[in-house]
Amino acid sequence: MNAVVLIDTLLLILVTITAVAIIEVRNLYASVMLTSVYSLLMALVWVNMHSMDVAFTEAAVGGGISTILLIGTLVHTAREERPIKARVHWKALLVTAVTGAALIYGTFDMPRFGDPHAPIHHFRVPEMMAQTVGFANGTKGKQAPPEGFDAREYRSFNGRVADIPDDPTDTAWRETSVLAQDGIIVPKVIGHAAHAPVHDDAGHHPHPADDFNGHVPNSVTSLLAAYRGYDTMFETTVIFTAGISLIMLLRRPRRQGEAQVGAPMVDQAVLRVVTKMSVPFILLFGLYVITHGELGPGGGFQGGVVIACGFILYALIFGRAALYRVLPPPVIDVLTGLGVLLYSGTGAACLLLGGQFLDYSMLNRLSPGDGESLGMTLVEYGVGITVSMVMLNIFNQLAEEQPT
Amino acid sequence: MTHVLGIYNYWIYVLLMMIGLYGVIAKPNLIKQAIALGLFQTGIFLYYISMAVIDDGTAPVWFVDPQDPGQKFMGPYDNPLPHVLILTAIVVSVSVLAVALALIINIRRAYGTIEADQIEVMDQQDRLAEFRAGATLDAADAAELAGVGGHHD
Amino acid sequence: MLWNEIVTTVLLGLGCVVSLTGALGLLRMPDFYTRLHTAGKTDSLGQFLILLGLVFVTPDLLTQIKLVGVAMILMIAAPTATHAITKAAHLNDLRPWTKRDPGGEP
Repeated sequence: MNAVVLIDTLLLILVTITAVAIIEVRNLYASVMLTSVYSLLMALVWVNMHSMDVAFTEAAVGGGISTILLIGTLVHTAREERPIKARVHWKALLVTAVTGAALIYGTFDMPRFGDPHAPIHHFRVPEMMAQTVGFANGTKGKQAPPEGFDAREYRSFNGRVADIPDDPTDTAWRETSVLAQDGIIVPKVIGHAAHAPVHDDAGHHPHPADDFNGHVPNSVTSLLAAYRGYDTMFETTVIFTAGISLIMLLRRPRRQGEAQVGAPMVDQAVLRVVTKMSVPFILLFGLYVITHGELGPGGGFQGGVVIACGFILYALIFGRAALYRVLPPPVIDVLTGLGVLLYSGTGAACLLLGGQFLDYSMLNRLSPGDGESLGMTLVEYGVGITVSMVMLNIFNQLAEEQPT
Repeated sequence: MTHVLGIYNYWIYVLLMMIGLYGVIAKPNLIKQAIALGLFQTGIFLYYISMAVIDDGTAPVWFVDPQDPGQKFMGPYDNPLPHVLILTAIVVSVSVLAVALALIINIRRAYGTIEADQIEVMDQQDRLAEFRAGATLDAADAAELAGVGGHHD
Repeated sequence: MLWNEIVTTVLLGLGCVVSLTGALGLLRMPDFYTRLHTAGKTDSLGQFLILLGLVFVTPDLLTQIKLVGVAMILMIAAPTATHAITKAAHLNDLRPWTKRDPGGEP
């Protein structure tokens, strides 16, 4: 029983109690606050499981944006749930008990928590993490290597070769590779070649070999932007669609003289001063999170949500009129689409440069790893712009309605 | 028994999923249902990410050791692919929540209530009022009426 | 134990004691304002002590600076949040609990 499971259990007891409370509490505002607490506890569970990007996203999205959305809705709907006669819904309990039993019966086949021999750690992970881009990959559409390029040396480290073939059905290497010879079957990738960088001019920092993850230390971001690039592009489209749906569902044609902007809080000195001090740093931090996503936890979604929260704080304290001076609604609408355009535009640019769609290594001929890194930065900015503007749009829609 | 000790955490995730499912089925309040759907989704995320964890693993971030050139990991690292998928799923879940809440606001405007059973009753009364006012029945309504005349549901 | 581990232990212990009393106060206090008072201690003092305690066992300087930065930011933001909640309650005419008039808020 490792420590992760122990802390996991303690946190999950708290999470389960909070979940039951969310369902059973009648006052909807209390339910929403408990949802925020639930998201925070869930972020702690993710940190315990070493998944930093997911924890960051859950804390920002679940604890921040979800709460704002739900409170914004509660203003226009009820405050309390109507009391129902039966305390426990027996038919629902029966259905969930049967479903739960079936799922628990299914979990008996799972490997134990953290098992290093589990199939998930062996199937494609070593190839995926050691995947090279540019010269040595051999897939169609990749550029030709320069003169004197040695693919074997490219993939070796300290004289030991980690020769992983490109054919995924050829798995004989697992028996004889250095990974197995080290006596452990865990996917401990040996490393990458440390040969001289491709271009050595002054001012350019020396970097390791141009592997798939060579310039992007955060493998979660690199998988998100490159290995699952289509996935992320359409997910950005999903957020964009949510923004459009909100506009279609909630936007009313504005009649004359109906300026429904919130009043600025002129008498709240403490809040005004602290907000005025904090908002620049919040926005800067959001930009930092988007850009630093390749080097540590972070990325487009998290940074976009932080930027949106900065703007929402400004709108709450200084009034939406002040926000509309900074970001008029037409600009918000245009920027919403601009993020998706940036993402797919980067992919199209790679197409026009001679590679496949979303093949970022085409962006930098001399050093494909740099190209991958540049492509990932661009798409993360696209995602960040769309996410922040959609969240701001949703807040504006919810705040603009007349309370019914 | 040792096998159970290794997999009981999955049972807690199943319990969370079932709490969410119970909330969706049992509670007539639409906002409660939207929140409970989110609970169900987080149960699934937990299940996914717990599969990626490995003993003594670290976060899947490469680092550069100044003594030993080249990027590498210290030792076993968690599988990053489920993290990627769940990142996507979390953001999709909040998008779903946003659209659901917008629909709930519109339902409140149209019906004046957000309790599902009251809305159903009002819908049935609307259809009954339409029928009594002499509105023509479409094919589905006529078939239903004929079925009601023959036997009870 | 080295000196920095002793300092960390003491600071973390103090931080946990503050958090625990905050949680206890949340359950036992008679009134909204008093409950918020004790909970606010956790947010400002408790987190400051815990983060400061972690500074002494962190190996590299950049993480130490980041920890102190986070503690400072929370030290500014958390009392502001408590102030906002209290002001909102006050503006909504929530009367505080007094011994003679316990009808403010259960």
